Amino acid sequence: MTTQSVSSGARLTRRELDFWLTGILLARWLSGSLLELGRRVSVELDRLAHPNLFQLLAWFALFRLIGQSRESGAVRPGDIVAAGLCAISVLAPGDNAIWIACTLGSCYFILTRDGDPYRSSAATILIALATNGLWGPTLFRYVGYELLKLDTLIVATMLAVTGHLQSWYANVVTSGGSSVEIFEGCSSFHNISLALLGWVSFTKLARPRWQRSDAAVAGLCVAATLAWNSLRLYILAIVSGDKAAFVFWHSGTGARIFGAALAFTIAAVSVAGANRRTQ
Amino acid sequence: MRISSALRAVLAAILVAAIVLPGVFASRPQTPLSTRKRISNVLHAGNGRILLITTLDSGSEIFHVSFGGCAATVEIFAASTTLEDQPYFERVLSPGRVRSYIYVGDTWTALNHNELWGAYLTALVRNVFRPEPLVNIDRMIETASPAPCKAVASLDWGPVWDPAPVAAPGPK
Repeated sequence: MTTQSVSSGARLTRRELDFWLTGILLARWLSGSLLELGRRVSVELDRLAHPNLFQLLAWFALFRLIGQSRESGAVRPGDIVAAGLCAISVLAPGDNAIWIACTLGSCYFILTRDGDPYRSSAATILIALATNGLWGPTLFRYVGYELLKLDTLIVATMLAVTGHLQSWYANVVTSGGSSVEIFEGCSSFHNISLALLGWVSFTKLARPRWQRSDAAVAGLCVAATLAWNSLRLYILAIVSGDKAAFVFWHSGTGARIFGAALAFTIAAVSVAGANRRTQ
Repeated sequence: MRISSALRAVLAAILVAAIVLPGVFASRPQTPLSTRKRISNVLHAGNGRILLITTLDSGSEIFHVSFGGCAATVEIFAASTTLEDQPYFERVLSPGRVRSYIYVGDTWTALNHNELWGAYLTALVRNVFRPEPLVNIDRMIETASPAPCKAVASLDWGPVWDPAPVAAPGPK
């Protein structure tokens, strides 16, 4: 960075504009997240045990990528219009405004990438954040019921293999005389967008360019998410007759153990995949 | 140079607004009424008498209600728009009932997931721009009557999603 670009009266550079834009997005996310945390403290204390570390990692990766991006001189009028539109969109009042702004931000970085892989990577991180926060859950609301039936089929198969299955239909499975209904929040598919956000962040922190093996690593992350969540559902179905054990695995320490194990697995697989260079 | 300084000032103003505005929107008077309270209000306003409320693990609730002019108990279901609790509802519901599905401004006599999701998406987008967002947008209302019942059809379900405060129901 030149002395001119950091002095107070210097021309606004594209990289500085990128930092402003990302800072605005982060400020909106933090502000909304803190308010949401405040709302939940009063009603759902146990949810606090699941801090969204992968989202924090994504924001860190985003700033790092912008810092590494090519210094491409003074900002252009088109950059100002695109970034301005994105920045202003965070001022919309709804909780989901931040994810709309992240989507627009992703478009901004893609449109202004000029062959810079770090700008492309910043766009990828932003769309992964928006997918985790808005587009993934919205799509899940459409296909969720079918996925819940698939979840039930997987759990029923696991129960049948170990001789615990009594019956199952739709999203209800019966084992040991008790029935468990698998709802949206418990679905094995529920955390896939979060796992992919972690994978994208770790990969982009390691290198800005994609390589062929990355798709396999993403597949492994998805498979790990499904496996851990299905195992938890299997345990829930087995202990469904014991209320204390059910609460332990459903919303207590057991759920946190599974959450931590899943996060660790995603991190380990992603880091190993990110450091693997095949090209 | 002057333009750059002006741009920085605008960006700084947006940054401050991005921090402050969510708090301003959140500090507006919220409607503390739960879904249960909102549905109860609608039912009371329509002269329905709630006999029993069943709560599912998913948070969905079934109201068993009697209306003057309806042949038997009417089941009102605050159901998830993912349809995740439909199997349970099918299991507990008496067969041969006249069903209707209500979501924000739409009513269907047969469940159409595509239309329901489209309406959900519309509500979701509207909520991005509304200072006072619609509430309960992940819930639809499902009614099951023994026969076509005028009292049920004439209920105004708007307050279930309307963010405007609703007065608590009086004694019935």
